[in-house]
Amino acid sequence: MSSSDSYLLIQNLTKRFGEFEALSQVSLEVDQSELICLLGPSGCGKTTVLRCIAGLETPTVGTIVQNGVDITSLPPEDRDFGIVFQSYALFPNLTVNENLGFGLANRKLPKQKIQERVQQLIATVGLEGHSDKYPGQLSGGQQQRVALARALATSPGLLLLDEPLSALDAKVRQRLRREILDLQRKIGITTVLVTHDQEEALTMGDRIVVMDHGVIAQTGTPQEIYSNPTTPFVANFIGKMNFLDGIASGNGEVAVNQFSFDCAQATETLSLGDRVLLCIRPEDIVIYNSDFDNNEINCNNAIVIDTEFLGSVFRVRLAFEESSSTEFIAELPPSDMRSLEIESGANVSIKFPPERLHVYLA
Amino acid sequence: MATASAIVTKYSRDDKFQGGILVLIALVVAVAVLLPLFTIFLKSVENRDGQFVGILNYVEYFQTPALVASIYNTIIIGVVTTVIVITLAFIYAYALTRSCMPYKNLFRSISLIPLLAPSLLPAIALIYMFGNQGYMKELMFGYEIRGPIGIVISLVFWIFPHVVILLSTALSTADGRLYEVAKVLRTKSIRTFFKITLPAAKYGVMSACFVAFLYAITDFGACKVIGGWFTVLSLDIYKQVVGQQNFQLGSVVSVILLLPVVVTFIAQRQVQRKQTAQITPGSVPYQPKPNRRFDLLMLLYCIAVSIILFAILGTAAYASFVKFWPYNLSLSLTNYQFNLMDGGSWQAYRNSVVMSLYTAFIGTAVIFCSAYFIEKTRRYRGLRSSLNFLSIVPLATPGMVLGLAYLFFFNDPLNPLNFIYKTMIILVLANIVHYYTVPHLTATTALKQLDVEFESVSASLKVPFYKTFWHVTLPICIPALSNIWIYLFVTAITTVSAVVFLYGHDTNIAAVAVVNMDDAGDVAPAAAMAMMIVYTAMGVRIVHWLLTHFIEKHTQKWRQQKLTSD
Ligand SMILES: Nc1ncnc2c1ncn2[C@@H]1O[C@H](COP(=O)(O)OP(=O)(O)O)[C@@H](O)[C@H]1O
Ligand SMILES: [Mg+2]
Repeated sequence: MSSSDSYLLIQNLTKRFGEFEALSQVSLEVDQSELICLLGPSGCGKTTVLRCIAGLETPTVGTIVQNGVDITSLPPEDRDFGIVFQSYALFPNLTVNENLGFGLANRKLPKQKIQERVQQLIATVGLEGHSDKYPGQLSGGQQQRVALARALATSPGLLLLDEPLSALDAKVRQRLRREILDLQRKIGITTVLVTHDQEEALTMGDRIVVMDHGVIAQTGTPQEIYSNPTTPFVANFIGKMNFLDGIASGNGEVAVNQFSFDCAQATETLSLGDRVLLCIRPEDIVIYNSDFDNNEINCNNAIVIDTEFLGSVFRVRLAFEESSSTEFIAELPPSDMRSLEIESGANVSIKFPPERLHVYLA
Repeated sequence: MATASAIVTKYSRDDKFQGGILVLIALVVAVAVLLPLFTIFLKSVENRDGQFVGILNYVEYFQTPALVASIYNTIIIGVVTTVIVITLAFIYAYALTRSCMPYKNLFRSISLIPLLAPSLLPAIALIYMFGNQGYMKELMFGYEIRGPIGIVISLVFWIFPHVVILLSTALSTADGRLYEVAKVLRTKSIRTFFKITLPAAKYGVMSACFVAFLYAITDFGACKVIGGWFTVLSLDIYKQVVGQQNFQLGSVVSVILLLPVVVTFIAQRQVQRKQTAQITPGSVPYQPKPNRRFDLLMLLYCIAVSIILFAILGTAAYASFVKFWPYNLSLSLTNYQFNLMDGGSWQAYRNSVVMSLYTAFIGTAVIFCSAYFIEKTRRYRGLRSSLNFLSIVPLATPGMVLGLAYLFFFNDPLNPLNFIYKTMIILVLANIVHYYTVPHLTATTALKQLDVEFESVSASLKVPFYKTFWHVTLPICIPALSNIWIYLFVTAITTVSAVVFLYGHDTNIAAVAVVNMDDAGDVAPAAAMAMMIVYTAMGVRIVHWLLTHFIEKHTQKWRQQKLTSD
């Protein structure tokens, strides 16, 4: 990706609050019309990035370029963005109508134009019939939509969303994810969405930026991040992952207990004797009957410790041998469970497909 | 890219505007608070000709036993008043918060009545009750009401409502869960009181003690009227300045009075901080359970206290209508003919009302706006937190000290603002500054409750901050504004200490007239004038209450929540 055609370009952003470094060397590019998700645990600096983009915090070091203009030292008033805060910050004493018209009234537009635009916004977010209500009279989901519409009212070039759905309950959240996404696609507005919810990031982001303690751990599409996490932190934070302690035994092989696994396809370059973490996702582990030919690559005997029914999948806890401390988890559909007759104490064969293994230096 | 120099966000138009206002506020604070107070210290180390004499004035002070006695007297009055008023008010507040007695709201209102009177009023009433010609003087068993006894009773009456408010708050923030546990464990109620109630209210009670002590040691009105031979520091300031024109000694006494005040004040702030830290988010409010004997006992107590409060107020009211106490008890309005009295006039009453209205309107606007700029401006952090700190200073400045500071500062012919001395302007200014802190805290609390991102949203919508202030911040804060207004009006009309050095011939005010008429021996007209203050404060309070209800009904509709679910 060349930097010239990206809409928002952040370089080496560092933010210190006194001694504490909240952001270190964050660099990021967002294309026109792209929806990018900043994902990370609470306190990792997501909101701080967003506030720097908005001009609500002054970076200690770094540059921010939006649409070809260096905005690093511009006050928020002189930038071009709409923002939805976690709290929504709706004006409680103004009706939905007045909230949406608040930014428009200042543009010296004729009253009628303002009303047209407000009506259009109300229709866009599906709040017909609520225009004269006060925010306190709306449900959480409706308030969220008002906040979104207000941020879009002045047709900004950039939309900033800080955990927009975190205050809502699960059902509403799912529906609004879809709605926000559709709306964003329709308008084509470049969007930065902050969330600590990996599911939200995976379903909504064109690309995801995973953050950890003020640094970017990985950037990529949801599939890339999920299938090729570049650090144990990302691997652990997104989806589920088995972590097995191992030692590099040469030839791209890793030994876990006395078993050897071919990890030639994993990215890390290893030298003999390195302590490593061997990782595989639960759904990537293949289980066979115990009479399966164990000589196939990365196959081994294992014993089922217990199983857990989760609805659409079973979670199976396994160990390479009885009373071994090295345990791992596999997930498989109920149909496989039935055909393989898996139950506590059963002996099975498992396979760690080489192309599904991740290895990190411990 | 290596950026050696720090990134500085450019100043937007809003930023510059807000910066200008903050600088203006800082200038006003300097002129209205810091410089005048500094002059007091300056005067205390100068001789009459304005030459620096070091601690000579202090030496003179400490070599005059009559003056030094006042230090001891003041502290004694403070301690005794505090012990009595805290005890009485604690039981009262306990009844209001922890019993199931009926008419709680009524008793709460009754306890607030003394707020509507100047501290001069209970003193005058006590003279009618227990003075030489008092109708209950037998109860004094030969002791003299004029002196420490009278001062303490007057102050207890006058400080009572302040302490009831503080203690009710402290007692009502109790965590109900603790009492549930105590009950499950079958803890005896006495033990519950000492093991749960008192520790939980500890900081609240301590804070109330300090406040009571502060009010008691800085009062002027009650001591002036009923002090008799007994002297206290605030009275000495008045005597030195008004009686003997000895400004140097007056300022020495002021500085000496400031010492215990500042120490108490700092202690109070520390304790209060601990008190607020105690309220945890998970706390469940305590719900008292009916207990017939206890509730009846509490009810009787509150009735008894109410009777005493009404007796004091009623005596002053009655005395003001009596023709010639105690010889001719027929009722008349003779005492209200202020124009015939030395030191009083209806003009003074009118001035008081005008002054209080100006104080309330201008004060509310100024205090709220500066609290807004201090709280809601994005930049200038250092300046804002200094201003926030300085806004606390008036609370630690006794009215007498502030008044004297203004006298020194604004009466100086070299001061270009000299023209405001003895005008309505200086009276209003002194009142706003004297009572600045409480409204400032009220405004700040209200502003803190607003979403911190309103200003950010406005900036993103490119709406200038003043539009958001006008359309959002201000309307939401109407209840706070209304509270500030009435607080300022009532305190301004009842106060005497801050303005006793500042009024002029055309700007005499009611509370000062009470002092002067009492001085001249016209006690009944003084009572009448004091009652005029009470009637006015009460009337304005009632009108204010009605108006507030009306306005809130019409502007605060949005507060009614009607949640629809998703
Ligand atoms: N104004 C501030 N002053 C000091 N520390 C701050 C400030 N704002 C944020 N921080 C700190 O910076 C870190 C990142 O905060 P934030 O960006 O809000 O995290 P996130 O949004 O990812 O939860 C946190 O540790 C937080 O305590
Ligand atoms: Mg955050």
